Amino acid sequence: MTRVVWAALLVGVGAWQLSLTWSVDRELIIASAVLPVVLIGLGARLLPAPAVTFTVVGLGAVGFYVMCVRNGLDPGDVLRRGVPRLLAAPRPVPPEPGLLLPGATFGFVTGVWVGLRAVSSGLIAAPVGAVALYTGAALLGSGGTDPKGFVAAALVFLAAAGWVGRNPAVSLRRLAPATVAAVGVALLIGPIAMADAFDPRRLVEPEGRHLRQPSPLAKIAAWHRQGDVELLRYTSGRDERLRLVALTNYTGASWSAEGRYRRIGTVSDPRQRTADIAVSIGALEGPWLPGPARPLAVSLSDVEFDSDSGSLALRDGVLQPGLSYRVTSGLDGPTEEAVAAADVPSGAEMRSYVELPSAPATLTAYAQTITDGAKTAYEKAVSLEYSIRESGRHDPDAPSGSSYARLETFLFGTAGTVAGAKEGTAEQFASAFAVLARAVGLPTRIVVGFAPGTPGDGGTRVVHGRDAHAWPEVYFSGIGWYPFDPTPAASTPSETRLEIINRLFQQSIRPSAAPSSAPPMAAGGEQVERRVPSPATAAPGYPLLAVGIALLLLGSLILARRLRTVRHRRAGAAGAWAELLDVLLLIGRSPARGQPAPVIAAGLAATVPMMDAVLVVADEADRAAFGPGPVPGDVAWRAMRRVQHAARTAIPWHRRIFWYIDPRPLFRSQRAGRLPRTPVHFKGEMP
Amino acid sequence: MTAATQTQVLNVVGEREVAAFRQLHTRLGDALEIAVRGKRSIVDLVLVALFAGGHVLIEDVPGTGKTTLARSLAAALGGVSRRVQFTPDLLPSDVTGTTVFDARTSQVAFRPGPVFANVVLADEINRAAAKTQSALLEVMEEHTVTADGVAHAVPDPFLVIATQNPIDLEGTYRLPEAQLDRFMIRTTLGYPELADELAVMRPGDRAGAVQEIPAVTTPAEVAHFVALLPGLHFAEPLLAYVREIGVATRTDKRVRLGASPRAMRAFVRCLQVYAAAQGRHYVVPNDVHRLAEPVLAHRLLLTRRSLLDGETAGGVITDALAAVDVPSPAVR
Repeated sequence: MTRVVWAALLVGVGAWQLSLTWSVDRELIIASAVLPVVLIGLGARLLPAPAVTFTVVGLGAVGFYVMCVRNGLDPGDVLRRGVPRLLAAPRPVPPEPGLLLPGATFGFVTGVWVGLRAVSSGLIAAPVGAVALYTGAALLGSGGTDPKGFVAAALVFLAAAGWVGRNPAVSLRRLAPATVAAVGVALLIGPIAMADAFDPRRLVEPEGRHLRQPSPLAKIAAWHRQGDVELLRYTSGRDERLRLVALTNYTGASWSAEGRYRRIGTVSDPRQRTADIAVSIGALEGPWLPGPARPLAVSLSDVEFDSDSGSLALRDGVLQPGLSYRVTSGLDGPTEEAVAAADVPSGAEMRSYVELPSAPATLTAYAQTITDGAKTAYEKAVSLEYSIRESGRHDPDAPSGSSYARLETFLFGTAGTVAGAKEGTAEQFASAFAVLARAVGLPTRIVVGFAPGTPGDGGTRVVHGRDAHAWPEVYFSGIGWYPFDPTPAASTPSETRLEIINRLFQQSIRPSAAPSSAPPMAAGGEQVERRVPSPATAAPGYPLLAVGIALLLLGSLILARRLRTVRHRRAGAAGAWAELLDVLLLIGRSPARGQPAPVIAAGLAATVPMMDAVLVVADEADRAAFGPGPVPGDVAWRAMRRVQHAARTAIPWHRRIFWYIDPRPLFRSQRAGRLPRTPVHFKGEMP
Repeated sequence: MTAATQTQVLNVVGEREVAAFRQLHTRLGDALEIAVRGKRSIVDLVLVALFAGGHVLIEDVPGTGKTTLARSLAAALGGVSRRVQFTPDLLPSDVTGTTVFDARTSQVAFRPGPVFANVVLADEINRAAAKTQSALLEVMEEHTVTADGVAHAVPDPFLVIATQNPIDLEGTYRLPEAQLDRFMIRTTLGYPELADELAVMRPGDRAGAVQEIPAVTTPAEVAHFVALLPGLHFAEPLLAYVREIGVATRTDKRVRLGASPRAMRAFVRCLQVYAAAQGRHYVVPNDVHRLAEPVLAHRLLLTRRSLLDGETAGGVITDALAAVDVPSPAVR
């Protein structure tokens, strides 16, 4: 009875933790896990366990089937693809039967198993079931379900309480060495695991939709021409640069907005700080929802998210005037210092961000020239940003376009001769930056969005057509996408950027200069040397780790042995005898069974040199164990010290090394007294 | 009902009483050493029986000093010692005493037999008829002789040292094995060690000079300790251990009849005396090992098959001691 309640409690806590992953219907998950434990555990007292189990499983299966049919789901499909769907689902999981049923099934199967084991004496099953549920919750929630570990601690406590309470033979003292080792391993493994935590969601390619739309980049000029049209308004604690869409693919003629859109909330770290922003759409059109960087959740239900570009899009249809929604986004962006020290990745997965199909040599050579003095990726980006900003004039009426030809005209044309030479909108500035940055190997994309806008009534901010903007972003290793803004007057460069600009451009390349001009080296050289970013943090030292683990094990062994001795010392003379038995084990002279202490002692004293004190230990221990009053342990322990000395002297030096770390005494069997046998009075023949 | 409520409250024997007893014990042992050489361990066993209120059966060939031991003990106790030589024609009344008519006083008077002594040496007890043996065994148990309806108490302390010849001589009546249980301790004297035997053989040696043994105590003092020693501390785990050994003898395949509860009671009393004789006011497992054979072995009845196989009761006891886990003084 107690065991069933205990098992149900453990499974209940685990199931509750699992149920937190869902937004509603949590009771179903908990009930589906706890009920089988209780039903099987208690039912098996009245009926045969297989019958009860069969009934419970049958009822569960029927319930599962009915729920599937009622909600128009294919049961096989729910079982087969439930887990990948769950992993691809937003968090918390939305109230959909197809996503709820896999969780309930998991809980049910665990509950049935634990119930079966609880019937047959197992003290392991319930904790294992609870841990399975807890682990499931942690994997589904990417570790965010129990950030402080309280639930884990509660589970450990419950399990330990059950173990100690149900089985007094498992004394806390016997568990102590195991606990020390477990905590040590946890402390060691924990930080390593945390540094690169396993997130099963990364393994799943979420179901998504390929969205390919003409880029809104060309619209920027149009929006600017009708600058007073209210595109949208928003309420936020900060001035936000709302993003519309990020553009990745460049064909040489234009940028395209394409990506795999799926439901938001699938891959994100739930531990970061978040902020909400309320948006209300005005004249803005298109499928994309304007929102802040790093969106985590949207109040609309049919919103999809492209995790690569960070863009939000409506699943069906386009924006309508008056559409209102709230977006939750992560607050913690990277610091400029971190970005300045970071490198950019290179590799296959970054190829689409550095692709320049048949780029003209003029552009690539120009990019090389500008970034010649720059040592780090950040310096390259800053020099490009500065050079492009200086190279032209912002003109809302400039011709649209982002092809190589348009950019060559924009960068190298002579102002006034050709339309669009040295003049352009944010489209040209951002595109020029993106193309030149890609030419020097920086992974770059373009974001179309809006400037913070002007304050409106009631704390809102209104974004007009003239606020439409585009800016490039560069990907830095370990940081992510970091924005730059080459458009003149859009923003003022930060201190760090100014410092880099002043250093690199003391003999500055004038934007008007020909691409063949001398490289901007000279005076900045030395300083640049010094600004070489510190080498990346050393690779994790696995040998060091191994040594650490070994030392920790050694330390815990010594500690466990030491604690054992201290405990013996506290136990007085009787403890001295226990310590003596440990010593005898260490010198390989464990006494045979059925020998009283003085006999053991006499045998030792006769065979081991300088062992006479052992007789005192035996007498004192017997006196403490079988005498009427308490016996002070000091006599026994004084003798014990002499015995220990004699014992250490009696063994060769190479065995003496392991004296304090030998774990064998920790496991010395402490045989409990036998149960009395049934007396037999007469057997066979009578006298 | 707990064990405590069934147990009579005894005066706890402290270290002071034990020291006094040990001193008396040593005095007695030293006194006996004058006449009985090199048999200190046997003497100790006899003394255990004396102070435990029991009797001793010495099984040995003639001439090893059985009689000398008994007479010396009687002398050292300062009491009366009598000797009964058991013969086939010995009558029960020859042992216990008879009622006779006194012509002078014209009254019927009880004339006490040789059992009315502090130490009675029943020599070659197996030579007498069963009836006579029973009479003696009854007195050993009851400590009284009943003649014509009148109970006559034997003196206190009362110790019977019976000797039995193991060699199956003509005309002996083996003591019924079930009755051996009445003896608290059975032992053998054995031949002396080389040095002791040489000393005994040397002309002019005082061995056997019982008349030289001084009385080192009084019957009253002995009786005092006999009454006192049951109060010696006996740890509960040890009691369970002693019982386990008794159970082990009962379950042994070679044994037809194991140690009875009476045997266990006697064992516990002997252990208390033995511990006190070692100067300890508590009993330890080692005492159990020392006394198990002399106290328990003669009470076991082996099966005929194991007797034919040459098994001995002593071997059964040794095996029982080895099989039962000794309560370890170490903390658990």
